Amino acid sequence: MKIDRRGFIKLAVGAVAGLHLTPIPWKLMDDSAIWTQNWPWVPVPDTGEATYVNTVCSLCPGGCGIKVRVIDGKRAVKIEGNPEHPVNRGGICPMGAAGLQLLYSLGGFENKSATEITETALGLAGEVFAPQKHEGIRVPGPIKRVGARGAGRWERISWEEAMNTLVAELRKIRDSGRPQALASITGRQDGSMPRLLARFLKAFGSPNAFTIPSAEDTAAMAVDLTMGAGKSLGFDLERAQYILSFGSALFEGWGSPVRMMRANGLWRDKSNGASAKIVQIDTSSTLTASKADQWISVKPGTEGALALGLAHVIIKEGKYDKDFVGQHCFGFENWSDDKGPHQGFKEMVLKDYTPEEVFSLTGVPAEKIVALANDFASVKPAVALYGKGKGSMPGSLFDLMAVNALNALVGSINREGGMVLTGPAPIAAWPEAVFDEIAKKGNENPRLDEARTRRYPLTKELFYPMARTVTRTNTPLISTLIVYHANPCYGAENGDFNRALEKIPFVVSLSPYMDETTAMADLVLPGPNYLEGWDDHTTPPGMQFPIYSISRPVVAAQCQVTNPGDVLIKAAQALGGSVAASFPWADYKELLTKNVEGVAKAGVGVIGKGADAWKKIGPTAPALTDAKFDNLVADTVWYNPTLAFNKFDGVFTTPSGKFEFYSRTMVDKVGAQSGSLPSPMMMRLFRIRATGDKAFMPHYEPPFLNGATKEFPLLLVPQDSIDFPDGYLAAPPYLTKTWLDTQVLKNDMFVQMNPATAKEHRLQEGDYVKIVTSTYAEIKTRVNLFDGIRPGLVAILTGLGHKAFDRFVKGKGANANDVFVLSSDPLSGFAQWWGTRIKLEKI
Amino acid sequence: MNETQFRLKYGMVIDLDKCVGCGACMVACQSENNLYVRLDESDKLRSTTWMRLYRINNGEKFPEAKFSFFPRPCMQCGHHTPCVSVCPATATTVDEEGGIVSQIYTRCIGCRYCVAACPYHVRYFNWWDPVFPEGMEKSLSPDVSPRMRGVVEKCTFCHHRLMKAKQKAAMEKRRDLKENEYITACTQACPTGAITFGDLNNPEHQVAKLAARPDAFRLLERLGTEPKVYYLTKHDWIRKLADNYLPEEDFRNVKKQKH
Repeated sequence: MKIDRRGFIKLAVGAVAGLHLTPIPWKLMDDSAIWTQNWPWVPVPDTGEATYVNTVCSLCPGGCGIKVRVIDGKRAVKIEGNPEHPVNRGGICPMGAAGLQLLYSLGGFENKSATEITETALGLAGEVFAPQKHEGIRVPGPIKRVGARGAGRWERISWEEAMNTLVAELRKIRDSGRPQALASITGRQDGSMPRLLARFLKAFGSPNAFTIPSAEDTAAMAVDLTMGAGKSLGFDLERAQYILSFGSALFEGWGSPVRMMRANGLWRDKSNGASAKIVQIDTSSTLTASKADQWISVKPGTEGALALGLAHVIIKEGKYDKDFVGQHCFGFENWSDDKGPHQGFKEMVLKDYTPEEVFSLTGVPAEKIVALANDFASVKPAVALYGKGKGSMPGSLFDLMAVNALNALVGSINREGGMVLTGPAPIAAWPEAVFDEIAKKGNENPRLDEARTRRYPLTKELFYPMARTVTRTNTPLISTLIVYHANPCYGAENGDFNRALEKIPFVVSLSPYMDETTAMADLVLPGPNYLEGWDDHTTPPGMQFPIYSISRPVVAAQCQVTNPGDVLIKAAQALGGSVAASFPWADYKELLTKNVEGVAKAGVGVIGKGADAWKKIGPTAPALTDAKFDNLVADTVWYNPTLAFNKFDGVFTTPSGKFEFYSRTMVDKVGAQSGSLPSPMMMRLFRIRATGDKAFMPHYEPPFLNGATKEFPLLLVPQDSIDFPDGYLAAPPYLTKTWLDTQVLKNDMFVQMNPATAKEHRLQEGDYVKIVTSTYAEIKTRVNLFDGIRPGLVAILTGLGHKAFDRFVKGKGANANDVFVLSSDPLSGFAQWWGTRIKLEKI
Repeated sequence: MNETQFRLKYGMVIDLDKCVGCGACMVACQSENNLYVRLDESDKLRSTTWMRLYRINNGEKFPEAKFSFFPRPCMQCGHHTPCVSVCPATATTVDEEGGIVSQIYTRCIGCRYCVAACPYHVRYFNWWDPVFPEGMEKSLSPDVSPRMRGVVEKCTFCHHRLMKAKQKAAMEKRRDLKENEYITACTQACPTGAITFGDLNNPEHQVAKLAARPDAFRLLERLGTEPKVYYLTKHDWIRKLADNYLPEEDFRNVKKQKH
């Protein structure tokens, strides 16, 4: 057949027309549309039945009730607040809401790379695990170090081998007769685990159990000194009408964070007729200062002086609660004992803290002080709160005593809407630990931080002196260190701990995460993530009634983990003798079950049903029925809303049985160390600059400044934010979406300063600067200008500059802890960080 | 006002004096709606946040300077919805069930006209495919599909929660949802209780009562887009930042102005 031109055109036209009538092009277009939207890396979540599991969040001591949405009992897909929990009543903080990203940060398990093959070729047996290639933060199972320390070369080992290594190391220490060479560090203060760890060390024969310092230490010490031991401080904030906060970062994480934010909701709930007034005393316009009804700016470190100035006005104008002060306080008026007459708080404050004098200290005008004092004394119920920031670092003992004295003056102790003293939850007492000769001898050694010694007679625990002692000594004072729920390699200011670590030959981490400290460990025995294991939680800081709650496994463990409690119990039992006898539990869960039996036996309180628990507070304890472990697990929480407001019999356990303006405990303990009253030399050792009776009463001690004003003209202050976790954990990825571009941009962080200060130093918005301290530590940041920052100050975000964790935080910004220079708080010896002088160098 | 009227009108009131800018709303939203995370999320030009916190300053000098926040979900505009009116692919519509502005990803052709049209910057274009760090895909909710590259996404008032609540009501042979039976993830998460959610047309609902308060206001109210998100504050300086008011302009009676 011949194809002519006409035929060819007919065929071509026919083909084009025909093609449009067939479904082929349409099908292809449709397919390509579907195909280009269905890449294998775009995940399609599996469906299934959704259920909720109740548990308790353990990411901070706040102790919020959470409910986790789980698909088919396997995948946790969402964390929500539990509306029936007395702490948070349905709310949640951003960190808590992002918690699943800690659980499922699993990357890098199977990834093998060339470097790992080289490692195996070097003759190291087993599977080598290199966290540099590790995208996630979870530690997949027990690992031991195979390269240089901190180089990140690990070998996966079995749990059996891991436990054997630990026990062999512990046995070696015990056999050497120096059990005090075992030390532990924990960042937790709530729950049974820190107690169990301390008990392990004691039964082993070492007094060297350390806790990462926090504001809790200062609060506990002040309560011991002025109100009596064994009590903790709570605040009936939901009912307070006037909240006078001395630097407490109420909305940035102070106390139990969600509870505090919830309280703001109540204080501001106009539709409920609320009319609470919040007054924030703060150097700069922090979040709390901005959200408060009134912000009073003070010179840094002078909050205590302002509190005493207010006390002066309240006393002078006779506006103090005369009944309370007369009947339940000691040391207000002048008094005398066998050593002679003593000055009372009243005379001391009237003499030393006149509004004019306080103006020169704090920079707050005298008339403002008078007005504020009148406000505080006239509105009921009013409460004064103390805290330098969110409480991740300790505060000043005498400042806190001054603020507590204000509460006593207006009679706001054990009153509705005031400060309340609570006891612990009635969990069962553990069987007494037993000690063999080695343990007894070991425990007689002084602690490495010199706490409870002549140097710091009143302080239960310190941290930094330990790091310094260990660094200074050539022979290893600590031969094995157990780290649980703490990240001192990141969080310890100015690298003190990192230097100490070089002198510690064996470091064991119980962390589920590859944090900075775990990266420096020799043996990692990963514990469960908080959604994988059993644990318990005691009353969160600042709550006005005791709470006890149990957290439970929500999903199956994602890694080969063992509960740190079980690690300790197993290790103790393997060691045998008195150490084993001190750990009579089969496992950690049995210990928790026994704890709950104590609660059941006490027979008071409520399980679950905690919505608006503060409204249920009454003088008589509700009877508890059916308090079984399983019930507590199902409802997650026990609490006891019993508070006898306005009753003071047996409330104060001080020597005088009253609230002590003049702390007899302090005199006794400090005096007892040196025979009678401490000598001026002794007082110098304690760094107390006040003399005579004043030293034992709330008074103002100016902060110690590190660095000459001329060379280091600026003062560095931390900037708290709930979106920048600065404790044991780093921010999970979701949290980085809440960061502003004026806080972090790319890998740079910003410090905030006043535009006037910036101009003085020839700096502009966005400039790159180097912060240099008096110890010549330095970090690089950028500058962000904000008029709310007090001139002369530089505010720095804490919680950035991680060297470990995942790609979302690693290398972002700088670690503020590197540039805080510490001195020691008078008497307590707590780390004083608020006197860090710096200079900025433009780069 | 010629707002399109439906039987139900879901809306939100945010009390800015209760809000402390913690970002729990943002994280709860991300977790609920399967948002993915890039390595530089503080760079707001590239970050996708259906709910976003804007930090605002009062512009005063020390010691009067203060800051606060505007949490900003999708405003779900009810009148001449800017994004809906420009979409060439009918990929976004005002839903008849409650007036929620929907986004249908499979219809979206990625032209980004809506992104340009939205006065509130609530719309985000997916320049990248959603990639989750290894392991974290396990935490993805099956109720919401992760969006592919090349489409626009935005806050949906947790529309899937409305669907679930409606199914439950239908099972129980109810036509109407009870108050708080359907709330968004941000409302549920907010620790201060600053966010109230419900039917603005139902005078019994708390949200309607709050929105009717004389101090309730909306962002860029004078555009006449009838947003369904209201804000409350006692501070004039915050209220003044809700629109481009002239220094002497009366910003309190803006609702009474004609469009």
